This record gives sequence, C-alpha cells and structure tokens, in this order.
Amino acid sequence: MRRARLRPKALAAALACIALLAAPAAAEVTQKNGLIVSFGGSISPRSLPRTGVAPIGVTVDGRIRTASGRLPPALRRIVLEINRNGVLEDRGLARCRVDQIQPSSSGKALAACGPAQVGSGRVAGQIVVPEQRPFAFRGRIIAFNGRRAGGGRAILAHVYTSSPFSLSVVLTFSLARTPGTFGTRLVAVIPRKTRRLLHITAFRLHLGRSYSDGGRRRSYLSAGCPAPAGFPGTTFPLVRAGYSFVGGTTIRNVIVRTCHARP
Amino acid sequence: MGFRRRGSGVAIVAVAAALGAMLAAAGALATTSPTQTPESYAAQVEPVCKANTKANERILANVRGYIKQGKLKLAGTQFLKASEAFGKAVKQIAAVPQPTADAAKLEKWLGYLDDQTKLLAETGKALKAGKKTRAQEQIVRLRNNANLANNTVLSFEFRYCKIEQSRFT
Repeated sequence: MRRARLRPKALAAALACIALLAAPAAAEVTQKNGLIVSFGGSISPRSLPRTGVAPIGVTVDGRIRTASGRLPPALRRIVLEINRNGVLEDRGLARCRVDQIQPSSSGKALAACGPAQVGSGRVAGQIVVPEQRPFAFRGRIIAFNGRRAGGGRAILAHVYTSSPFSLSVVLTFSLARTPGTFGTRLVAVIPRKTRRLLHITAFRLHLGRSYSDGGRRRSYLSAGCPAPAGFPGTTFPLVRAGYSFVGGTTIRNVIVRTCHARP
Repeated sequence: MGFRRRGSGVAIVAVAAALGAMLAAAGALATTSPTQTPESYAAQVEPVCKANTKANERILANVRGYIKQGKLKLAGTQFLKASEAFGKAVKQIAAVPQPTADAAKLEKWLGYLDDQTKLLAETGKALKAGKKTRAQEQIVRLRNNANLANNTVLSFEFRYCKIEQSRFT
C-alpha cells in the first residue's frame, strides 16, 4: 500500500451506516483473542479437467469483527497462499505501476491500467480519525497485474471509496513461489500511516482474467482437478490466509474446497 | 484449485477432516459443573484433542498414497482405525464436566463430533467397498460437518479441538 489520499468531502455523510459485506455460509471462521475472522472462497468453474489445466476464476472474501462488538484492530499484514497446483500466468499481460493508479478514483485507475486488470471486488470498514468517531466506509477494489518496487511480480489492489471521503490506497501483494502445499504466496504489508486510518472489516475479491497474447488465448489463473482414477472429484486446500493485526494477534484460515473432474 | 501434477486425492480431505477434530462425543454422558469455566474446560479437553490429532496423523499418514495407488481397502482400513481412535477421544472429552452456562452449546458440538466419527467410519467403509463416489460424498460431508462443529464452539478459541481440515493435506 502506498500513501493514502484523504480528501474530506462531507463529514456529516460519514455517519451514514454502511452494511458490512456478508461472508458466505461456507466461510471458515476462527476466533483468537476475542477477534473473529471468517474467510471464504470458491473457484469457478468447479468442473475441471482431470489432466491438464483450464482457465478459472477465484473468489475470496473475509470478514473481521470482535466478540465484544468493538472496532477490530487494524490489519498490519495479509498473506494469501494458493494451492501449488494453481497456475498463475501473466505472460503477455499488460503491467501497471503504482504511480499510474495512485492517487486516483476507480474509474481513473481503470482508464490508466485497464488492460492490466486481473480482478475486482468490494471492501468495507471504518476510517479512524483522531478525536472523532470512526466513519464507516464502503469501497471498490480493483486488482491489477504489476510489479513491486524491486521488480518482482505483484498484484496491485487499488482500493477506492468516495464516501465519507475520497480515499484511495494501493495494497501491493508481492508474489513468490514457495515449496509445499501452497505454491504461490502473496504478501501485503500495510504501511503504518494507512493502518492508523483504515480498519478493514470486510472484503470480497474475484481474481481471474482471460486475455490474448499474440493471437493465443491465455488465462491469468488456471487449474485442473486431478482426482484419483475413478473418483468423481477431489477436495483440496484452495487458499490459506494469514492476517496479522496491530497488537500482535495473527489468525490463519484455510479454505478447503471440492472440484469435479471431467474426462 | 486442482492439482496439475500431484493431485491431492480424496484422502486428503478425509484425513484432514478427521484429524483436526478430535473430539467427539457421547453427549449423553456429559456432566456439568458450576465451577467449570470455559477456560478451565478448554484446558482439560485440549490435551485430549492434541493426543488424538497426533494419533490420527500416524494412522492416516499413508492414506493419500494408498488412494493414488488404488489400494482402497488399505485406505479404508486406515479410516476405520481413525474413526475408532476418534471415538475413544470422544469418550474422554464427554467425561469432562462442562460449564453449566455452555452446556447446550457443548452438547450441540459433541453431536457434531459424533457425526464426524460416523462419517469417518462411513468413508472407510465406502473405500473398502470400492465405492469411490460414495467415499467422495462422505468427504464433502466431513468438511461441512467440521465447519458446523467449529462454528458452534468458536468462543472457546480451541487450538487442537478445532477441526483443521487442511492440517494434514
């Protein structure tokens, strides 16, 4: 996440109550130190080739709350790890730089980096301004294929809300290959200034993009369903998420899902 | 997301669901105590869950390989053993006095754990009989039931008594 842009508009409007995004019924829920995190997700289509891979889309969503009903602490770090058999491909896909989309509204970000878009979603939470009551906000997330400062692969998650303020931030998820069950690791560290301001309490993000590269169709995400012979499908850990909060609490959730193998 | 090279197979899930859980229960045997607190209850049941988790890790260690190799009878036998171990853990947990205020919640939880034990056994039977579709169905049920069990006792903040479906995948 780079610097946040805070542009006061109508403070009174900030008091409007904004509903949180609802986590799905199938979400995995974890409670630790009074902090409750639900994490859900799915892939589409669920019917995938038994051998080889096919284009897919992945949707993840989460909700953060406290058992006491108080404002949850701010997120400090987010780690998303994707099953090793998922293929993430960006060959021939346009890339976006942070300075192209920050600061900007969602529309301007899309105008600048639309060809690099790899996902979209919604976010909700509270904006905390010293000596004032927190303001609820609800905004839009647009994910772009990009590069981090050091040059490595990244997903740039552009978050924008127009109410109660015009505010945009970019969460930079660095991508790395890792050994083990989860072969792709995405990590975003929220800068101190941003985490003082933003307390995210819910999000929903769909990743997936089909594009053409030199006349050849490609997919940003692909996967197969290599169920053992004779089995109609298989179950697998889709995504492992780790949330580290200000104050030291870290909560991990794993989404386990099922796919159907097609001949 | 699937598996491009080394698919994880049915076993995985089953294992996972099985293991993480550890508890189970004969709810009818449970007693309540006004001096028991949620914290003291968790302190008493967590060691039982931890021991069962490790036992099931050993029992199910090779299940994935068995399934990939088509040795379904062997895999099924391991599931039945895991179910048996799970059932024993249940009895131990059911013997732990419950906080009076949480008795209803824990009874519900024990019910889910009891279902988990049965589902493990059903999965084992299906594998032994070579009924692959049936086994897959049971595994999906194991996953769903594990979620229900976990959500019931969220406030206890269990570590080992939470069913971690992916712990052993």
